[in-house]
Amino acid sequence: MLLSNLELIPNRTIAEHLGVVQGSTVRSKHVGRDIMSSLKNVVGGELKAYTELMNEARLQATNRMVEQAEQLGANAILNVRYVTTAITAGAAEILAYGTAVVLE
Amino acid sequence: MELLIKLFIFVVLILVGYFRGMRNRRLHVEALTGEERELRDILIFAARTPDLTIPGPHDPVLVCGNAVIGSDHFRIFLSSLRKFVGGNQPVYEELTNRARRQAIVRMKAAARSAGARMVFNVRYETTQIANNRQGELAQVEVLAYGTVLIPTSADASDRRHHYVPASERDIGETPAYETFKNPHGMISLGLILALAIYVVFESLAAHGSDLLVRYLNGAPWTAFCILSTVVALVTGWTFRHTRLPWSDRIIIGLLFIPVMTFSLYFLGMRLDSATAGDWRDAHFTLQNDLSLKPIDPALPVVRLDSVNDDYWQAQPKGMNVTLRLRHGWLGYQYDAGPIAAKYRAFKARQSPRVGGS
Repeated sequence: MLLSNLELIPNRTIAEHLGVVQGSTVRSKHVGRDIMSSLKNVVGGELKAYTELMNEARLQATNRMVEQAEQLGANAILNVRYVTTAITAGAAEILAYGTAVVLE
Repeated sequence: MELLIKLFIFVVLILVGYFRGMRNRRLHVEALTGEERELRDILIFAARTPDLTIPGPHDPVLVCGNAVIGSDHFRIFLSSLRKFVGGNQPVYEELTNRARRQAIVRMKAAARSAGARMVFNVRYETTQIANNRQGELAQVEVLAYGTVLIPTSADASDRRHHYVPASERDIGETPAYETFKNPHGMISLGLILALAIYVVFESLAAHGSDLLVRYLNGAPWTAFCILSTVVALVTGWTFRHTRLPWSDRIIIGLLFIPVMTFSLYFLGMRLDSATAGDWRDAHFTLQNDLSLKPIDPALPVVRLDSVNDDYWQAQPKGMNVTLRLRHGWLGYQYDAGPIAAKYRAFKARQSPRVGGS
């Protein structure tokens, strides 16, 4: 499964468009790490715990999108976009969506 | 007084925020500049279409980089003053700028490790992580992502650049994380439930019969407590590699210790009874300090529960008291049935007097 941000790939032709596929996950902060990060807030700087959290969320959302595309029988997803929203206090949703295609 | 403490904490936070925050920001910016210089040969393009003149078939690979940056108390305090007069907020501008730079640097590093020099169609995605309602400070996440094109063979079976689904560990989720799906968690909870049922059963059984067996001079609660704590710690250490989250382990430990202590109480009593000799009557004399001194010097001095002291106060000192004793592996037991009957009769005589007609 090839993933791409681009709308088309040079020197590769698209045999078939299989529609939009998406994967999303909602993650919230761990209470323990939340307390640690509140302490970090006093001095500012990068919050590694949250960076990891968002990274893991992104990987999971991408996994789910790829699963959906594989079920459709695609071999590439083009025009991948990520969208993040804050759902509720301390929880964020990341959505990954793209166009599933068959490249020949 | 409370106000003074709050003011003091506020001032401390501001000062720490100022000094450490300034230092952290400076270090971060220096590190960023170093990383950017090292990765400056990687070009990024915001254009939607890549350079179509690149010859040969290419495989696209998605590269991402993200960063979460938070600000410190001092800067937030400054920005809140700025809000009164309006205008741009350099504090937050600097925050998002640093987050963006860090995200781009990470994306470029991912592009380099994929073996490319150009990243196309770079997009930014910004989110606020902090919750303003709970008064959290500004924390912003920036995700930068784009596509690199890697030259590939024309063979369709070449899957080198295909996306590899992230493993469970990378996602931070393991199936055994759920306590109720983890066998170790379920076995521990089942054991605690079984012990609790045993304790309840024993307590009810004791109520039914006239024979009320008790430890002489009280049960060794401290010993039982320490023993159950040791058992909990040893079990925890033996199974430390199971994928049970720490919060669950602590809760299971806290449930286990009291339940185990009570079970040991009853089990000790059973063991003592099983290994004891016959019942025999032992004679004691009531002393002034409400203890019972044995007539046979081989027996220990008995100090009964202080809950019933008012009964013993009312008795004449030097009175003869008979207790049925027997001796097992864990010490003396006595039959508290007749004594309990005397306590009840005494209390029954007391209460009508207190309650009035």
